[in-house]
Amino acid sequence: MRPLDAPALDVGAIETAFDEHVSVLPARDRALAARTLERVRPPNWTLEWHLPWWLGHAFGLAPATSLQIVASNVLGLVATRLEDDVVDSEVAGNEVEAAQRVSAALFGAAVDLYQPLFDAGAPFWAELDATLTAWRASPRGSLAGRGAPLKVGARAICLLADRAATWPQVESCLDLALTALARYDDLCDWEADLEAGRWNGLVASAVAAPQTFANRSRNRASVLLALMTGPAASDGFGRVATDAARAAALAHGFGSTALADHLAVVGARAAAQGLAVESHYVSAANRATELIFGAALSGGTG
Amino acid sequence: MDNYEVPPHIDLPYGYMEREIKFKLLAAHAMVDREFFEHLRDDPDGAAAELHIRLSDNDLIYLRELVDWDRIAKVADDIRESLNLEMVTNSW
Repeated sequence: MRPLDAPALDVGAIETAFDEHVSVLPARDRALAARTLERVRPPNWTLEWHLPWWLGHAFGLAPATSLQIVASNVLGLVATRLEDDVVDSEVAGNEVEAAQRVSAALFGAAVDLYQPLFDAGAPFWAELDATLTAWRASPRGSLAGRGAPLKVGARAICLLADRAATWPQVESCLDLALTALARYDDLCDWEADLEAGRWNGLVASAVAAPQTFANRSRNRASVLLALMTGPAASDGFGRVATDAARAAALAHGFGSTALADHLAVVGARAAAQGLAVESHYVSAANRATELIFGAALSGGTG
Repeated sequence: MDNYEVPPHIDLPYGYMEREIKFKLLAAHAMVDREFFEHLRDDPDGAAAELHIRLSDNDLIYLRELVDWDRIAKVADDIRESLNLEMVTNSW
């Protein structure tokens, strides 16, 4: 559903801008950048692509400026994705160097896009440095790590639109939205995270044992058991829905109906998915119980 | 509410629900952990004790003598397969 208060983002214009920035790279690096861009497109990455556009529209910023910040976000997103792929060993051995080189180039291009928007002495640059330093120092997968690049663009929009006073509300909204999205990722990706030895919030809520590769079979059984016999799914998805709804209310408050609508949809979808997941696992538990104990249960109290 | 209806009273015997919960825990464990499935099949008393569950003598006789474990072992794999989250999220 396209939010009503903002025109549709010209995704094609952003892709063109991306192509222009990578055109200076060698052909092999360009191909790697293009392949990575394909993996971080909307709708899965809607917030990363649309946040500056929606905020810019709500705060009366010139569309060309908002588009420039969207382009910076997308360049930064691809750079970060490549960096994560290297750390997660998801890049072939002979492409690691290229991935690191492309990531650095795109990251530099993402920062350069702010050059014409802020004077050399503007406080924005010190804030950017501090945010990126904190981001680099934060544990992988932490909310601070996930949120910093998004916040840079949103902060820039607030400053350029002379809405610095609104920043605390925008930041609170983003913190809630990012918490919701991180939790949602953990709920949907827990099996892959477990296999890869990555920390996962749902797994942490269900098991006391460390989330190590050696413990993965036992931990998988514990999570499945929690899903089959307890409210793990509805609790987890319910918290996503609650945080997304609170973020949507904040977005309404500072006037971005488009952002609010998006977050409300995220929340409503999570609530419905929570019910579907819970129903699935409870049904599996009921089938298993009927299979093994059906005759005993129908035979009275034993 | 005009449409409110009192749900029908279901007269379950005393202890039925507690027993159902015990069974559900044991059955769920047996699905997510193949070793536990074998343990429950070979030594139901010991397997239940592992989960701090005590089964009645009649339930132990049921598990030892009446359950067709070979048939259940075949069907259990279908249930195990359905526990993969992709089975749910593929439709989203």
